[in-house]
Amino acid sequence: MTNPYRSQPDHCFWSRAVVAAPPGQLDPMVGSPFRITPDMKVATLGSCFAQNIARHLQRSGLNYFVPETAPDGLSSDEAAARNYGVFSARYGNVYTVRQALQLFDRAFGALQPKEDVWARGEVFVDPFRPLIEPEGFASPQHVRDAATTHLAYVRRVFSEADVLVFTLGLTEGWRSREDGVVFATAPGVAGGVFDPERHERVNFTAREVSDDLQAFCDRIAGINRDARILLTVSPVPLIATHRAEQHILSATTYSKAVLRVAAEEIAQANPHVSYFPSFEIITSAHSRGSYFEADLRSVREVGIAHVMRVFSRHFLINEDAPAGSVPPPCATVPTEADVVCDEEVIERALRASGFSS
Amino acid sequence: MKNSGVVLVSSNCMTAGIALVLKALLPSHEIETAHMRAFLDMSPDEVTRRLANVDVWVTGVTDPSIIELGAHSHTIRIPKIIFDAYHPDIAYARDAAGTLIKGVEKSDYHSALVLWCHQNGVSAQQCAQLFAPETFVRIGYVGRWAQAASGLKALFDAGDLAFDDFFPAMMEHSPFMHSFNHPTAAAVVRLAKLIACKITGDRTILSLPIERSIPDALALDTIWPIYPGIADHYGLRGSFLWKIGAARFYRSSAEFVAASYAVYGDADSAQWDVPRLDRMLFDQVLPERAGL
Repeated sequence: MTNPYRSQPDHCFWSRAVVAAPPGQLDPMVGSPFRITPDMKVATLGSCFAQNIARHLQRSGLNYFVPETAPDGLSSDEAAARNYGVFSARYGNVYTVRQALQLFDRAFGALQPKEDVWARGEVFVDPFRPLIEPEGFASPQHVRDAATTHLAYVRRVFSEADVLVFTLGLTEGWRSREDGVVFATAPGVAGGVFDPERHERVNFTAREVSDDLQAFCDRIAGINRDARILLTVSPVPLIATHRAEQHILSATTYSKAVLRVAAEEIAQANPHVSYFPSFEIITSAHSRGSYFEADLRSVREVGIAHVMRVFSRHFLINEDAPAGSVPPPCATVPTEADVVCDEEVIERALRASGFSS
Repeated sequence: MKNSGVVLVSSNCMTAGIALVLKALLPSHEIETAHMRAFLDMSPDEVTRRLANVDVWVTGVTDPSIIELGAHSHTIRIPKIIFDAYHPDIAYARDAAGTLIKGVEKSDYHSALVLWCHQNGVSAQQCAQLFAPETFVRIGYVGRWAQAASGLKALFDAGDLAFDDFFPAMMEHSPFMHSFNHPTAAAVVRLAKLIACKITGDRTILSLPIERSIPDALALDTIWPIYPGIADHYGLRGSFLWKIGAARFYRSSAEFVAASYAVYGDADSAQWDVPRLDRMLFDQVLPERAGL
């Protein structure tokens, strides 16, 4: 009988592909589904981790597609404060797949939410991006006008992007009991008032997320036939769960597992959809937790750099050497015979350790 | 396997650390130390006399004719820990007579980049600007883990300890080197535990949590920075903070280059021999970047 694992490549074995990978060099991406060339428009959407990808795209010389740009005369600081350029359009963080799906439907007129304005003190905000304008809007009509403008840009993002990088963040959310629209935050957090008669918490199931993700990808393909969708799962844990019966760690594990399953199912089923393993790079045992800040949630720059190194290697042209390639020769060559052991160092170490030579 | 006796540790700068760990792990043994280099200067009779009452000789000596003189004892040949993936820029320099040129704070270490710049008349300011990730990539400083690991494995293979018992365990202690030839306490402790296993045959020693009880003696000396661009590649945060000697700090490449240039002064450094330096590669890559 032939052992079917015998002919498997190295990346199929934990010892060879994970244990043996040098620190910072784990590369769980197998092959390159496509390459991003400088002429391709790359758009981003998703949770806060997607902002890191957006920043890297901006720095890497790619055509980072941002149709919703800051108005003339706005300083770069003001533009950043008002969330211009954070993503391809000013939708803010899109945490759940259902939000993304409903964003598409709102942009193309298939969904008109009943609850489309929230009050926040004296001002008003958009329930689907309540933090997009730090100072809020002066009136409900201003909110609706800004949403109309914004959604026109969203249509351009979905219609014109050659590559859409979508980072899946959560399965938990808050939605309207009236029409099922999912809000960006819980009512009462960044605007609005929580009303149990009108609002409910939701934690999407694996089937729901997969169905939503398939529907989202189908909708994109329906208006933008050649667009590629690159799915990632955010490695950032939930900051809080609305499920009092669940520990935050279990709630996070559930959320990430569901998202990862959905990403896998949809990437497997759709030739125009691929998965990029940023979640694995940051959270695997290989990094021994070193990619998280002291809050065990925020991802350190060094972890993001690792993600982007792998991203560049597999998706960008000539950005980095292919995986497994030999680096350029080193200008310094170690030789054992050349190694000098300073006698003073030896003496000092011996004295410090209580030995005499 | 003996449960008592005299253990003589004669390695390089790791001698103290190894001896201390063995003292902790082998309470029934008497632990002695001796410079490895001393054996190279002894006559065969002197070596034989020194080893006469030794039961276990833990040694970094590689000369077979000397090793043979300790045949009556249980000899454990241990490797030097040389691993330059984190610190590919460290170099030595010698004058025409073969004498080591001292660098900053009378250290034997030099930056190969700084040496090349001084040899080629590059200003200190321009030299400092070469300390950039793009330069490091071009001169092969980045991504040399496999070569460094292969070199270290060869050193293990020439001795009596198993590389595979050492190297994977170092991954949780990365970076495990203070400089290319000075391991951290974690590495020294692991090596010493492997030695203790050899002496006693007891592998449970490997899981004894003694690391916190062993001081990092080599941290008293130079700690070379892992440069940004190199560190990132290994999932670490890099810096340009040099600790040279016991407590002299240089907080930027500009500071370190200036200090190095001050030491080199007007010396004809072009005559110095820098064995680790592949001058041809530097000559290909650096002149344009240095504005020459």
